[in-house]
Amino acid sequence: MALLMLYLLANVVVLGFFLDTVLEKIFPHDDIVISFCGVILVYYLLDVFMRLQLQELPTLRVQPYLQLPVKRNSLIRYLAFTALFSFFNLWPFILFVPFTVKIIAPDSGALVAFAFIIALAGLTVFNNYLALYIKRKANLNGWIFLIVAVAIILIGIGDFYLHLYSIRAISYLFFGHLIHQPLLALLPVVLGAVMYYLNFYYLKQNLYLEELGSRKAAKYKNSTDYPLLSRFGVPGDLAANELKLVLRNKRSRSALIMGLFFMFYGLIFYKNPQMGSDGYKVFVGMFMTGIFIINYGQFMYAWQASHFDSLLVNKLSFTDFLKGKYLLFTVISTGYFLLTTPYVYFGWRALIIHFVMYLWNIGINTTMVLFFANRNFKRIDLSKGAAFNWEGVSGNQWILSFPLLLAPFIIYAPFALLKHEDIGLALLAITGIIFILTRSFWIKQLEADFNTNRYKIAEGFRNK
Amino acid sequence: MIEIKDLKKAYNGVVVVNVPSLVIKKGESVGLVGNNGAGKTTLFRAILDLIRADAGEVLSNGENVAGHENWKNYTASYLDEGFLIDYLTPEEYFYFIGGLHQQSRAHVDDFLLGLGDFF
Repeated sequence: MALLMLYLLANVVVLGFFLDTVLEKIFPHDDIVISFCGVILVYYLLDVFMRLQLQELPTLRVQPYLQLPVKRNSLIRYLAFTALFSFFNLWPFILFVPFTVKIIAPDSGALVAFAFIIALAGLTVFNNYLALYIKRKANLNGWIFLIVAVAIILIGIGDFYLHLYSIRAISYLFFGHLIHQPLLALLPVVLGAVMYYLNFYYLKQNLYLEELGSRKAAKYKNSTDYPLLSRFGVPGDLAANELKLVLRNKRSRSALIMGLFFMFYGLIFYKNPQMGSDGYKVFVGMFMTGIFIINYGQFMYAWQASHFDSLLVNKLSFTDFLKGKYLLFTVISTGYFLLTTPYVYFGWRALIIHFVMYLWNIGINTTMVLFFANRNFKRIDLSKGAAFNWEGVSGNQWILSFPLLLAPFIIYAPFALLKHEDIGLALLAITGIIFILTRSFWIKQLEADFNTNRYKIAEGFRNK
Repeated sequence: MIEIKDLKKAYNGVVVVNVPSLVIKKGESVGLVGNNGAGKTTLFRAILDLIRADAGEVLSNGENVAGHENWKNYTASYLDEGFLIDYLTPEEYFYFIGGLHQQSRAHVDDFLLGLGDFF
């Protein structure tokens, strides 16, 4: 996840700095200030939607204080304020402040720019507490979440498909007037304050853990079986266990689900004729078929940190342990590859490249990820959520990202530059197949490598 | 039979385990008592080859546990919650451990029947 988060953050930073150029491209007929004012509210609508999915409820933090002589009001204030420390509250500023400083300030003066920033802050606070309020309500009644999500989608459809009204016009109505009347900036601030107090009173009425959304994970069925995997003996059992790990824990599950969203990654590139070249397909194909290997594998074996000792003392050879990992990666990558088959719409070549990158992923990237797993000593607590969770992140993930991203291009790029793309692709496929066929050799290397690090890994995983 | 010879382990210069000699014969039950931080867990971890001893060795049935895996075939252990797999249900956990010892699910179910009073 760390890689992905940094990538997203980098995207937002770049977008923020070039927002003026981007707006000019998208709305060539409008004044950029008008487009800018229009876009803000659209962003905040999306923001609520994102927050509902991803923002964490900071509830468990108060648990140790509930029975101590601490005033309820200060507990609630603490809870409400810590909720502000979320990355979501940073994004609108990264996105909109550069434009405000670059364009609004020189055009309309520092006071107006200041008013814009105040208004942004007000809306951010409003969104923050609105999302938390809805999430808290939804914890008691799941339907609320669904109703709100549908409502937001309907608001979006009403504008962009049915053209009943225009969110951009409403947004401009406010921010356009803000340019002439900076005092209007107080309106969002008031909204934010109202939302804060609504949250405050709700928390005050419901300061019980079971009502605050600290529900324990749902109980699983007695015993689940994956007939496909149980055929592979001990490695199959291990892969089945790990699949249960992935599906039954929040953070690992979102690594899998994020992968599903990545299935749309290709649409961004393939629809754009300028980006239709094979090089992009190699890149996109690697991500789409290998996203799980990258996203989940980068933290290995820390997912199993809480019971790593038991893996070491049980009658379990590390060879089988590694075979289980390869099996899991292969099964899930195969699933993702099958999901990318609709891209055949963009031509057979796209599908062939995806297949080549699928071979590359299960051949080389799996081995690479496991090699780095032998150097990962940081524990992960599975019970915590995924969004902006930096636990388990170390230099290891950054170092890993370089070979992961560069290796296929080291082989492919020279041929692509000489206009022999097919040879480059064939070489990628052959390298992948060679690694798949020589897996047992790599497993031996990885095992020997693990044995030199095993005490260090186990030690690191024991340190909470 | 478990045999410990001159086992030493130190963390940051503080010696936590120093066992010149200890022999536990087959069939013996031994209790280990000590204050917090006395090194009980560290000793057990050394016996299970979970930490690298600074000196000495632990022999299980005459074979050094470090660098060998034979002892895993007949050794059961539980030191702390790190020995459980928390996302598995009890049945799944038993099936998994049973599977490692080539026991089918039916075997495991049979064995658990004998422990019915506990569940």
